[in-house]
Amino acid sequence: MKTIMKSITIMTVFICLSSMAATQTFGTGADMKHVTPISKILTSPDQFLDKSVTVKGTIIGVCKKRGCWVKLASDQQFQTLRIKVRDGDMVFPFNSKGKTAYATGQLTAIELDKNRTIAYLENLAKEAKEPFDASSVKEGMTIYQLTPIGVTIVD
Amino acid sequence: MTLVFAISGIAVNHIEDWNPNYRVVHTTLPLKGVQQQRESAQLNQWVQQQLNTSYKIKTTFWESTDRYKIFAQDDINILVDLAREQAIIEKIEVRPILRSLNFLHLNEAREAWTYFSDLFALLLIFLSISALFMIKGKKGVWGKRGLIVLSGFSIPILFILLRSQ
Repeated sequence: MKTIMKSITIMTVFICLSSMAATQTFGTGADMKHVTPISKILTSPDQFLDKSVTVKGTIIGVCKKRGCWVKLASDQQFQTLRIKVRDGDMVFPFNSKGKTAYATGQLTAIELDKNRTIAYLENLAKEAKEPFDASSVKEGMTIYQLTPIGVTIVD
Repeated sequence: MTLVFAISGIAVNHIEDWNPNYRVVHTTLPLKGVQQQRESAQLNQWVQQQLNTSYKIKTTFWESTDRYKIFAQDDINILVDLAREQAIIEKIEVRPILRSLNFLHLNEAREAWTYFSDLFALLLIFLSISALFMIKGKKGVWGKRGLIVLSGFSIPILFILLRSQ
């Protein structure tokens, strides 16, 4: 029993220390030398679709349940870009908020029809605890997100 | 290893109800007069004074015209809601043991851990199948005790038939 407790303690300390490390790498890690500003990508997203890009931004949100996405602040006010992986491919720590992330991957466009747009905006409003009027949505929308092959988080 | 998978299994089974890796505490406090501070260069300082805190701020972000986020050290974040004139302080604490168990169970370690846990799974498969044939005769799996084995299959099969699409 003592040996089991010792092993668990050592393992816990190791994992806690590694999660506190100044730099955390996921997948291949990001190509930090070639960064494209998020605002530039979102101004003309079609130019960047399905191309490999690296973005950089403060992590302002993390997937609560599975750590499957992080939301990065753009270099422009009010603008964000979501970095999304398939569940389990990378697990972003929930306590990464406020740290800087670099993400290298492909920009993808998701076309939402009117109903999915309502559901999407309703969910955003729910998260922000703000009222939402479904009748204000007149048509579908396109959202952009980055599917990364590598992410590097620095504190 | 069985304990790692079993304990983490229970923890992540209830992921819809709680966060199995982190303890997150939200405290909502009033922030009267914050609307007038909207343009102030001293907004961070003013917020901390009102909340009676002295967190070391790492960075900030205007999420929308009415939502301002302050990220501080030690996993503390403050959401300033200007429309409601309130602040939500979020404190995040790692659940040390559960985080470690989930890290292993969900194979966040990858690399060699994948092969080690595969080996463990193979041994479990061997253990469960070999157990069927360890006792021979009437008390074996072909006797009445076979019903216990069948009952073990019945519940998962029932769920698959009733719930899987």
